[in-house]
Amino acid sequence: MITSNGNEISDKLPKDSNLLTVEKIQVQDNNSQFTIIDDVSFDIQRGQTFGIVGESGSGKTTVAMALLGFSREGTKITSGSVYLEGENLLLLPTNALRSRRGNKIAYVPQDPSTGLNPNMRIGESLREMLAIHVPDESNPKDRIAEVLEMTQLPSDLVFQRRYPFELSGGQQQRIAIALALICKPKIIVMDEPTTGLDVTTQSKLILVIQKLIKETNTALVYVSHDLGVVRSIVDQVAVMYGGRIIEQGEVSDVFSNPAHPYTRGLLEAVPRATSRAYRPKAIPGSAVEPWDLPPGCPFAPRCSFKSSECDSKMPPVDLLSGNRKVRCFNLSEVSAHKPILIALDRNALEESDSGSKNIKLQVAEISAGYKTSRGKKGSSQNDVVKAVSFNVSSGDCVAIVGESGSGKTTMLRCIAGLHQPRNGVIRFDNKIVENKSKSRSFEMRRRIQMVPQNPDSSLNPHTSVGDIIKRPIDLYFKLSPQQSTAKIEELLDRVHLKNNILQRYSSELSGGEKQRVAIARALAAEPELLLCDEVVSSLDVAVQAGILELLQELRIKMGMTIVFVSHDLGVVRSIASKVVVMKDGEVVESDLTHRIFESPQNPYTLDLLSAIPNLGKSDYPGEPQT
Amino acid sequence: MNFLSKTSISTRVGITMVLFILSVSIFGSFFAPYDPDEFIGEAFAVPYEGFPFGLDSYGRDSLSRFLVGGRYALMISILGYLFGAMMGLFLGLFSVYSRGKIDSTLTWFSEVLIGFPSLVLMLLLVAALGPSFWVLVLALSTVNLPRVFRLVRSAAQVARESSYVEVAESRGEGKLFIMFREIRPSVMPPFLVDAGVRIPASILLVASLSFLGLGIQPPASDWGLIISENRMALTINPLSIALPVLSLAILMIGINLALDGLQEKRKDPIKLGIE
Repeated sequence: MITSNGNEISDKLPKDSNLLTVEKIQVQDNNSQFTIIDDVSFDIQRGQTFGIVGESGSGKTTVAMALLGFSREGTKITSGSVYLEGENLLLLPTNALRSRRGNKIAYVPQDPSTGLNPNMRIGESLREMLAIHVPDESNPKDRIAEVLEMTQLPSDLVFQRRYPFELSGGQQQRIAIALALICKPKIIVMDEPTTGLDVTTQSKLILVIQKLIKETNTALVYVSHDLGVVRSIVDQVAVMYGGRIIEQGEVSDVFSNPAHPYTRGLLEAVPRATSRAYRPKAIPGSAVEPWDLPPGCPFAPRCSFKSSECDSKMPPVDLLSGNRKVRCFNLSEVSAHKPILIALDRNALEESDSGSKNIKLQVAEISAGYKTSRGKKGSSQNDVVKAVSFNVSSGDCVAIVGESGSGKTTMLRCIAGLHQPRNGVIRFDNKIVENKSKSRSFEMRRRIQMVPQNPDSSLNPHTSVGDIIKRPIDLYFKLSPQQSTAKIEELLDRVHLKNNILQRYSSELSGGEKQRVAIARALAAEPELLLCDEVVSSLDVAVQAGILELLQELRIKMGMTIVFVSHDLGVVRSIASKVVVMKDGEVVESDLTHRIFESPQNPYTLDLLSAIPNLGKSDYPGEPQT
Repeated sequence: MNFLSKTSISTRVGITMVLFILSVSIFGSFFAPYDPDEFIGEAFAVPYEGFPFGLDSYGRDSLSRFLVGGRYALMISILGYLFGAMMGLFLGLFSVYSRGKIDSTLTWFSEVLIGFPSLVLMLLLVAALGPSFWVLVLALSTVNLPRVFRLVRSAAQVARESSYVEVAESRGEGKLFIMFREIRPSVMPPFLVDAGVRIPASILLVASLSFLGLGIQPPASDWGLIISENRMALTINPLSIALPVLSLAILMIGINLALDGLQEKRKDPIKLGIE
């Protein structure tokens, strides 16, 4: 069924050694107005693991889908070829292509909660997959049980009768992997399979994936924005930016000695839970979008090594030793440059042990929960926060860490007055704070401001940025129009945004910009306490480092007190002076940050720390000097 | 006008169409060449000199009856919609904002009102209070209110749970600010689409009520009545009903064009969801 043309090409090329060969694929939108990915080539051997990393918008998911000969609605694969065992998938007719998918090459989508059919029991989903692709399977029941065991799920029939919503996120993702595995494909493409999972769930899943790949000798394409995860799973890695692979090679090689300025930037931006804290460095500017790609190197506008050539020409692929491929004109200058790592000064970051500073916020024995309306009258409280106490000194940054369901966000909402604790007292400047934000005084509400988790839903999509920032100023301060304009400008300057953003709406902003606007809105009230709920968890590393820098700056320059909720220990390491570790609503450990990271006392803290897929010590840019 | 310069051509056309029909219905009676109730000649007479649209089922001047007949029915429909929709919008937002008992009580009332068929509810009210202009407006509002309420309430739920509303609450914003400045904008798209369906439906309801003998009483002239009285003569003198039919059609299209345009005022930039 292959066209003669396709056969000729595939016969002439010596593709037999490679399992998958990707040659110069290009994906454009349907009107060919802009190019989403271009000139992407790589090959994968049998049983090899290949990682694709990059920020959102870099085209990594587009590449992953193109491997299956698929392009998203509104886009099309315009040129290039994908050879799977010598057969060009892009030239196959639809029916043949459909039989290759699942059978030879399988896909695990990003979000298992939408990737699994909610109306189908999981056993049924597995059975259907098998029936379509391997109709002659002699013993489907055994095969289903086998893949469930391989993904370390219960394989009994009771479990198979469950629906996806009856499973946890980690289990759902394992089912998605089992679905991909069941037809014994030669290669599996996984798109951010661990994003959105807790660290401990993630580390378990990574172990499962590693074991599977080894046992079945399946090749793996792993797409992720998380450099630590990619580092721990793959052999080969490709770094993408602006729809191009800008660097490619052995993962240990690329990560310990990155050649491209962007790869360096990414690695410098990753917050690490190292024993010695240092500040992650943000890449200036924001990621390019396919519709405004510069004519030359896509990274040129943000690059500090750029020469005149970079602006006009796309750098060709340079082949370095050890099969390394890099696209950069100025390799020698980049490699000559040594980054300066600023080890964080503990005196500035962490409260001195004497504890002489005055206590700003005191949380005493707070218990809070949600009503469960089971039974007729006896509606009972189901506590998610259980007798939690901690103190925050003024000018401090206290991080509350824990996995989802640990009660950390509920704790923060109690402080903000958005959730009524059942028990306990919150004191602010030694004064008891009312539970409900409505019953708090005007002044108290001004002094405590919150930055919510998801910047997509924390900014009203129907209000312009200018109005969003202006509102707290109008509410709390009586200023003349000139004064309030001046104040807005000062705020924008403080969060490093430009003036032209004021007329825009949140849908027109990037994730980092949205979060900066949300922070500016909180700062507009001139608060003394800033409550940050997972403010960087939805952002790319390069953007995340910028927000962390900003928060740090607020603390040092303005003496802002910050309570920071996060599940990411690397982030916590780089910003917090004190850490409160929560598990199942209880505080299991709370101490100064360096003590938690150097000598954790509680086994749970230890678990959390060891679960982070960290970059190695030998990885660029290494540990800071004292 | 600053407002109009921002809108698209189709919106401007739509607004012009609506304004034109409204002015015909309001000021038309000043231009009526004859007394609309005067019997002039043979029923269903085809157009002749001085009577460009011929005569109607009782031999009255079609043009004069049309020019006079737009006043009440249209006013009743539009006012009845506006009152009902505004109350529905307010109560819907209030209900979602308040949550809990207030929300369930208001929802319960709206369900009860929706339980009555529209026409039956209007008939009941008109029969009890008598067919006057304001009673008809009130009856129509009562039909529209719970339906708009239900729509607004369901559309507002998502915004109510969003974190920008939470931020506003923790900032200490008042009830009205949260209801109208934070929640209302996200209700507007479905609200406007609904208006495009509901205004025509209201006009139809008023016309049906006239047809049933409640509402506008003959011999008073009314576009709904003109159509119903002259429909048997469609083949003899189609022009006698052409004017009210065309006017109603222009009005409906105009309303929909105008409302479509109001929604597309701000569009998101190109988003393909590329990652």
